[in-house]
Amino acid sequence: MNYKEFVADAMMNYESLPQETNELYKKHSIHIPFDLRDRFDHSSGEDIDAIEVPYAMRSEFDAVIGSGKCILNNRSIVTVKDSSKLGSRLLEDAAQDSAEDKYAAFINAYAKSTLFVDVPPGMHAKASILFAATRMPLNARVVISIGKDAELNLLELHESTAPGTVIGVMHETILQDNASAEINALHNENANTTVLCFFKDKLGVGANLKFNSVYNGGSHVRARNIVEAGAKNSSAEVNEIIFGSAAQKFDIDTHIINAASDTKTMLRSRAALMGTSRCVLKGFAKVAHGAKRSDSCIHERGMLLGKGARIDSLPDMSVDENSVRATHSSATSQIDSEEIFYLMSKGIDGGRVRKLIVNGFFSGCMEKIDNAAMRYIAMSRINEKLETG
Amino acid sequence: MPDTDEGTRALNEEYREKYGFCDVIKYKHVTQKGLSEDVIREISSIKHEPEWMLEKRLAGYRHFVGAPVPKWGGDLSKIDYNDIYYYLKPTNKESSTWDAVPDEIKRTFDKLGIPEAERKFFAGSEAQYDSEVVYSHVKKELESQGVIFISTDDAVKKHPDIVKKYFGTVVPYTDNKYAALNTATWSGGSFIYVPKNVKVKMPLQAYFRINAEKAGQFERTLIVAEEGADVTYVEGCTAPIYLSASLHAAVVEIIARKNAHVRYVTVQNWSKNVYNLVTQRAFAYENASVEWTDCNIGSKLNEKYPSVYLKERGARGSVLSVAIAGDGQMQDSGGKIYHLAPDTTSQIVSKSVSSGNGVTTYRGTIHVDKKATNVKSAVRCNALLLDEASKTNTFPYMEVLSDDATIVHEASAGKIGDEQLFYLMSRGLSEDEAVTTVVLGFLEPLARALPLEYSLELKRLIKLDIAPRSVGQNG
Repeated sequence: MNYKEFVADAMMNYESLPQETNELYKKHSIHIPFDLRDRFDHSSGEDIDAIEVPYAMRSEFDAVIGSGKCILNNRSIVTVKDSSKLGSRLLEDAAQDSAEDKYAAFINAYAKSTLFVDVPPGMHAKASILFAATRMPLNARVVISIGKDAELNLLELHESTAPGTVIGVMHETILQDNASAEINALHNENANTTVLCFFKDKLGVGANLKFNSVYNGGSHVRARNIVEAGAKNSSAEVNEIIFGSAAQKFDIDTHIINAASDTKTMLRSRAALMGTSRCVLKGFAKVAHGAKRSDSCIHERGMLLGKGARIDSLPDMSVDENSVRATHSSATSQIDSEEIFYLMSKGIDGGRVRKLIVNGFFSGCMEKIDNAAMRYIAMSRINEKLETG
Repeated sequence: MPDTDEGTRALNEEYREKYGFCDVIKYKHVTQKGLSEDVIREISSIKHEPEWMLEKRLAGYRHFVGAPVPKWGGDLSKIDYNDIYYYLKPTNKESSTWDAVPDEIKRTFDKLGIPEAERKFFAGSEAQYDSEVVYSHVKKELESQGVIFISTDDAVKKHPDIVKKYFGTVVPYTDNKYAALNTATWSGGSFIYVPKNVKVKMPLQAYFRINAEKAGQFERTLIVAEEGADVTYVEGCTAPIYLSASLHAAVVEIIARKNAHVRYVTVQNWSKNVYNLVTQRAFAYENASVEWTDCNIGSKLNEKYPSVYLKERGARGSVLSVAIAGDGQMQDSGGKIYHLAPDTTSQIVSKSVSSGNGVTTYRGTIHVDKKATNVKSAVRCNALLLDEASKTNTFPYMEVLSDDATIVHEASAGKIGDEQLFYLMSRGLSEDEAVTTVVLGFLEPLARALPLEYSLELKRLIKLDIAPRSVGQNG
């Protein structure tokens, strides 16, 4: 399939597919009430400088990606290619199947750039990327390839300033044998942005992946992550933090799959919601036949901070092998009034008490993140949002 | 306890003898195969029903025809609705004494031990054979207190006002395809009415038997517990082993008024050619409590999710679910609780065991409505996988619209620990005995919740189901 056919196929699927194709979740999905194609503002020009980048200067990012403009500061491991120049095999490998998901099809149709993060065998690398949607919707594919025995720690910051825009990023992560990676994605888009996230991986023997996401921004946030420990002794860990306010809507669907023997997968999700925000938290743990001595675990926790907030928690599990340890747990509750009373009796005011409790709630997940910049920016953004409501 | 091939064969032989036999019966009336408005009018006419019930049946039929087959769960596409007998009448009248039951039917229930169990453990008993209840009896002292325990057919004739008031209000025919099918074709089932403040101390029992090949059983059970009433109802079900599939699509409706307590226990042991598609639902009002204890051992495909709607302040709901899936079985079960009022609490405990290529699936919902403040709910699912071919799924749904609900869910799946087996085997138990001991221990909290007779029966059935595992045969 050449690029033209690939795009035409993606367009057709975007038009024809329903918003949710997974039969299991049809009742439990967040509806995006508009056609994303209407979000394209055809007025030309972009202004990446309009993004206020916290903590690190823009020059400190290895790459800054707008929908039509890319700045590369570290050409050794981060490169960008025009998607139309990719060979058909690479094009299809880098993408998620358009026929399976309406919004994967949307990104496939509109992602003009494909970003490559290549870490050669044995190398230990750090990288950071800023995705900035200012006026036009930003769609990109990211292919992360980590060689044998290599290590990568990647920070992605997703920002937007334009009203009613879209950021859609699709990840394909390949780890060769004994490679290790921590991929961090901080979503801090403005309150009018539609956020689309896709993630899938391919792990070699003994490879070790950690995928951390903080979903803080956006009006409608839709994530479809498939994290598979597919080779012997590989392990994958996903940490998700969702912090909603006002009328934000999150539809986070993460699958963790043990597909080979002696593998380990873990999904930790923490969602705290204020205002009338809503979150559908779908965690699906699958242990495939043959994945002997594997370990699979889902922890979902929800905290409701607003009268109109709502969390739908769906920690699903499918186990097709008996010599495994598969557990999942889920809990949703409000802030404990006794905790508030205790802290206020120590002279701490209400606002600070709320901050302490929310910070404490997220800490179990946050402390699993190794990247200090990710932790710092994420907590500052969450605390800012707590203060402003 | 048998620990050899011979022992396993003996257990299977016992199963065949005890439950899997088939008696030759001359039916008094059999409708033609398949479903149509004419068949429904025929059923209604045989039963001399009032017009309002026929209207309900026809509305159910029309909805059934248009309703889609559920896409989730097991494969229901192989059910041929035109190859099923929807009504088989084994006798012309329902008897209130065991002696009056026709001999050939009595033989069946004698083999199943029904009258003996009634004498020992129950306050009343009812037996349904294919489409009709053939025996119904309640102890005199309960009758004098106003307790009604009769077949639902009889209730339509004797207590039309109560039936008309509640029938289809808890499970409307529009609820799902199989509730619609039941509304159209229902026959038999139990009607229980417990007046205000009456406590029925011993359980009431019903036993359901499908005897004919290619037969459907569509009983309809309605339980009304008035304010402060207390009742426990226990049902058991078996069928012979045929090559073709049978269909069981029952509907159970429970209304528990203020401070009432209703406990509904099912030990489902259909043979492995039965599709068991049952809708069970209860409404619990102020401070009322409804408990479902649901043991699913038999059937080819079981889809059953007892539910409780907690409609008023302080109501409580609980579902204890056991599912055992052996070779070729799919047990898709669980529970649903809808918190619609403040200060309501609920609990779902699900324990499942899969062996051979059996699949167990927990599917459940906890829904907390916006106005349901101070809600507490806990869901626990534990699955045990006995061999490499077995599989388990867990699909819990938690929809929380209230901001002060506390909802907890825990689940685990795994195999029997080698250390546990080693320990038991070092004490002289064979591997089969050790496995059975661990499985029984795993299910013990639920077995304890059953009346004694059923608890013993459940353990026996589990042994029958688990034993063939290690010798790779089913008799």
